[in-house]
Amino acid sequence: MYSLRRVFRFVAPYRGRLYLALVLLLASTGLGLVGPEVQRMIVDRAILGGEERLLLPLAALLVLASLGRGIALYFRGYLQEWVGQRVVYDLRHSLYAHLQQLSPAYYARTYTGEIMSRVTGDVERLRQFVTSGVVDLLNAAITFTTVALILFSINWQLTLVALSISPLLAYTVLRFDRTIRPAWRAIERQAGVLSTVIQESLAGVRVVKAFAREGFEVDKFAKESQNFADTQVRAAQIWARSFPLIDFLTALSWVLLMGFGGRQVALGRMSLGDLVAFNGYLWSLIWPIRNIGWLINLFEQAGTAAERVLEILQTPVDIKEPHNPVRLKVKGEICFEGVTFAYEPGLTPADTDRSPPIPALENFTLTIRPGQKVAIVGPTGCGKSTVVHLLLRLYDPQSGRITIDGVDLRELDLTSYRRQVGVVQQETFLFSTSIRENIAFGRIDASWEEIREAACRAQADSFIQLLPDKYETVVGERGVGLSGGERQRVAIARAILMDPAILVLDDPTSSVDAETEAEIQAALRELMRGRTTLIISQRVSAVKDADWIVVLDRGRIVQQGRHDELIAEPGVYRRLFGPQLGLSGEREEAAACR
Amino acid sequence: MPVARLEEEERFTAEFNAAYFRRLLAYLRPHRWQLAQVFLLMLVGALVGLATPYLMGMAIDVYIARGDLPGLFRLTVAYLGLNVVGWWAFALRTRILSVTGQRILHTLRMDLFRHIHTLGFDFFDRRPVGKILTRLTNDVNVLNDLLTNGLLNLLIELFNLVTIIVLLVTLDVPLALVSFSVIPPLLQLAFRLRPRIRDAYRRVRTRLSILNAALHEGVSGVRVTQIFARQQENLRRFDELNRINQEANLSAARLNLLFGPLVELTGAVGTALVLWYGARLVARDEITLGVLVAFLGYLGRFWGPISTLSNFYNQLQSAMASAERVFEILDFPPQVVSRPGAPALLQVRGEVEFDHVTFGYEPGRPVLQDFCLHVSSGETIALVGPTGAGKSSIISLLSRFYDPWEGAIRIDGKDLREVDLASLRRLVGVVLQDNFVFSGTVLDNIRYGRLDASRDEVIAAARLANADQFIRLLPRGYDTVLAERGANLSLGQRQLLAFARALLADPRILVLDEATAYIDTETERLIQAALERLLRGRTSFIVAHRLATIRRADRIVVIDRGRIVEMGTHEELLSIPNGKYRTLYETQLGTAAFGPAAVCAGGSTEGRAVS
Repeated sequence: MYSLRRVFRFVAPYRGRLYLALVLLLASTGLGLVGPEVQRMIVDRAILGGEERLLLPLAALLVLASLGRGIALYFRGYLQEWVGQRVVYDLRHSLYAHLQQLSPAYYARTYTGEIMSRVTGDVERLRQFVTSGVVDLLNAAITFTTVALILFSINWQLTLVALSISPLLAYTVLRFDRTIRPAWRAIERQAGVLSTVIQESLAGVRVVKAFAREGFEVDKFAKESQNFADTQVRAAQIWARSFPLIDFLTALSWVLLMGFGGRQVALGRMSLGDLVAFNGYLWSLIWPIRNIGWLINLFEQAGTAAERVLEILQTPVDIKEPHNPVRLKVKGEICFEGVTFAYEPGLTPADTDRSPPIPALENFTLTIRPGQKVAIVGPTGCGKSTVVHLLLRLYDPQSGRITIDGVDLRELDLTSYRRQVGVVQQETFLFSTSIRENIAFGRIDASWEEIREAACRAQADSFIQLLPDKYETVVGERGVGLSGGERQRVAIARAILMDPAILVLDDPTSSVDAETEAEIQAALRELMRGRTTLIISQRVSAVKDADWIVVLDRGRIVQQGRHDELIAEPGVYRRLFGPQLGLSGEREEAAACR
Repeated sequence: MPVARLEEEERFTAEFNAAYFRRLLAYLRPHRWQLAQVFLLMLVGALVGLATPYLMGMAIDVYIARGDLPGLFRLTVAYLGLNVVGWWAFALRTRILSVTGQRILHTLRMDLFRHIHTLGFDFFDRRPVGKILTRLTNDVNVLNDLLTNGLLNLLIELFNLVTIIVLLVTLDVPLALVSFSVIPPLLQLAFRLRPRIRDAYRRVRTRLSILNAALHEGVSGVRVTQIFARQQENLRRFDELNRINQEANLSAARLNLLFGPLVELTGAVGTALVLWYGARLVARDEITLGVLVAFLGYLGRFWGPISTLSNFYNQLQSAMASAERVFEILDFPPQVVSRPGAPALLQVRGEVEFDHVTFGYEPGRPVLQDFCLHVSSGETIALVGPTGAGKSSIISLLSRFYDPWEGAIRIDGKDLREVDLASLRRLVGVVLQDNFVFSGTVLDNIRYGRLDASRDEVIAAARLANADQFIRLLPRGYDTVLAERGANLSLGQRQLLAFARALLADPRILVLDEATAYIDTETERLIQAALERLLRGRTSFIVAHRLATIRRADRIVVIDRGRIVEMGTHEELLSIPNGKYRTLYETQLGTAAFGPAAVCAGGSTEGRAVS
């Protein structure tokens, strides 16, 4: 409930409209009570009392009341919907803005699916709650109380009799709500299991066919499909136990009304019109109770949903802009001065098992002069990628500092700095938009000629021309799929367009085959020209032309120098790249001597 | 979310198709007795519901007006009894219907799933998994809903409607005609307004799924966004989608909110008319007060049947769209089937022959042309060549995933089309580049190669495949549950796991599509050693990317555009000046990395030509 109150902060700006909705609610409830009252007067006075001239005005009143009620309901509904939509608009806006600021550390410990379920499912539950929850609860309470009071004023004994069913009804409704929910959850779970079985069986169909395991898959599916059917039947059993009973109890109210009320009329203690009015009001005494379960559910769910949504919004942003940011026209001198950095426990991208925070980078010192090309190599998990993370200020080092043109990275205006660093990553993420916009990702204001020119220089233009809509072709998850080599060339065009002073190549050829790599290398050379470049790679062809090569092992520099020097001496470098050059075993010695 | 997204691309409704409907009804036939029971029970429930206003009128006229208290008591008890019967009927039919409905669903799902697994890659290649999944879940549900709930509800509500009309006409013809005046506006609401509301909410769902996709992209692309400092621009675009979604919601709400009040207003006008006219009839003693009360009671019951009728119509339309999708799969012919009575291929030496094979995926565009290759028992063949050259087609044909257009493939002289398919696939082991890992334990995943293998046999296979070491380091060893698609394993580890699977299956002929991505040196060493054991004594075809593998092959076959361009051992091929193989080899070594020759040799990925 505490979290729920926090969510009211989002509702607060629209309070005025909710109050108005409340007024309309009272009006519609009031007008809804007119109907049975009119029926009572028609029976008692127009029919039994013979005042036939009352008939027409009463009938007209009935229609007018309904019309007025309809109008009130309409605007009340619209106001609620409006506020609900506004609130989720604001929530989504805040969530999106905040999620974009959160550091990789947050994303390392949180599953995308989990975040998605919060920003979609939980936000939707909050919308339902804001749109209908609060007002509907009030509506139910007000209707029930008012009708009960009116009925008491007509005939208190009959009212008590009619109300006698209420506790039993409420109990059944609540019990139903409590027992059906786990059953529904079980259905959801089993539906998940079933769809996993289907997905795997289809996505792995090549393996299934290769091993001739069709029968095995069908049996597996049959079992889960049967389980799914069973869970559904179980839920239906619960439903069958409670729901007909709820209907029966509702009908029982009418039985009591007829039996007891009819008796009162027959004995002359009550008018026939009163009985007819009672009949008209009775439903208003029942539906609020029938809705209790649903309303409670709505409140509970909204409480948890609010908590989960707020958890995202309250996650602090690790990397903060400095108070007096320095805007720098970067020339491209990079200095790592005694930098030590460890990922938070359990956050190492490579292995999540190890708990003690082993530094990913220890006392790392490196100076890169403007225009120099430096390669960093080493076995998996040696800290290569960490160097990139720190240079991009996705994390801040625990000790030591990184300077750009002599200015501490933490003093720099982050946005302007990052726009001057170009990155080509292992795998290029394309957004579901046109290929033109994907290239212009880092420079929205780029002209069409500039984009085209960048694509040509990245050797991407030729394949783009073959796409169905050329540069307007939508790519990414919802569009045309590009091959690994094509994606990398888009990334290179992206970087060329930014014209960065500093370039980071984070193993851009690791996921393509040798032939494609050769093509990409040519585009990369074009990109590197005249820029300070940091190269991370597992392939010898990518690093051997670098001005300087740094070999990392377990976060420390173990070797550095040029390719010819490093391959000639025994050590990590030769162990890594010897086999790629066809040097192994005894031939390794021969190469060393050459 | 992906499922919802795929759904939009599909059609929502389709015209009624009698042939499909008859095929669907066939699924009901085995359950006709249960469905008849449900129908009878529903009839009982409908009668109890219909009796209420009638009994109310009777109570007023016969007992209350005359002060007949014992009679009133009897009527009350009878009414109570009636409701108990209604309660029982409702509960019972819910149970029977749910069991029956689920049985029908299960049958439908199984028919589909079983059929899907007989289909060839021509089916899977053109359909994303998500789409097939939707058919097995959503579409099947839609059909079941129509067959069970939809049809029965329609029958019951039609019964209700007819009974009410007959009853009212019997009670008093003029008043009945007055009360029927509510029917036309209700029809308008059900058949005109409601479809518009439904369309509006479909638009809402589309907008919302676009918005959610943008959110998903924002989250999964966050690293790129931060690196390129694109937060402001992304937020601006997201807000645009956010606003569009809000607009769609509000315009749908504007329509939807009309619905309730209009139904209510129609009811109020009807009530006013009946009261106004009926009261005069009572005053003139043409009807009794009880009849008037009963009329008022029935007035509210026109809506149910009319609403159900319009619902059924919509349900039928969307069910037809689902039926089209489901039957499209059920009518899809299996691509490759065993000839009836084809003999099993059991003991073979492993001699393979491609005899003048021509094959392609699209008519008129052959991938392999007049391809001939003879492989002796125990030989290791490395297939080398640019992407799209036809390497994958060769290995697909060997497992008979496709049949050639012309020519024949033979194992030990027997044409593949003349032998039992399952026995062939057991004989030919395949290790794919994308080594699919099923969610389940490591043990289960290896055992996929031979279902009856004991734990020890599995472990032995893992040892031979060099997978044992990393498996033992997993949190629960061989009983570690692997995440969906083996997300918690590295590429190299998945490869070793696939080797273990293949070793356990112990195929006579081995087909291996080597992974292209670079793997760290240590794992690479393990893979090469395991590979050696895997190849020993088997006829093997390897689509080779790694130098170590290629060098070790007995024969290297260089393929370009569906034809063999060079063939021989590593040394032989290297000695050809300017040879295709030599160029490829040098590219990989990096010695010719940036040279023009390398660029030409590559060609484009996905077979698109690059000038």
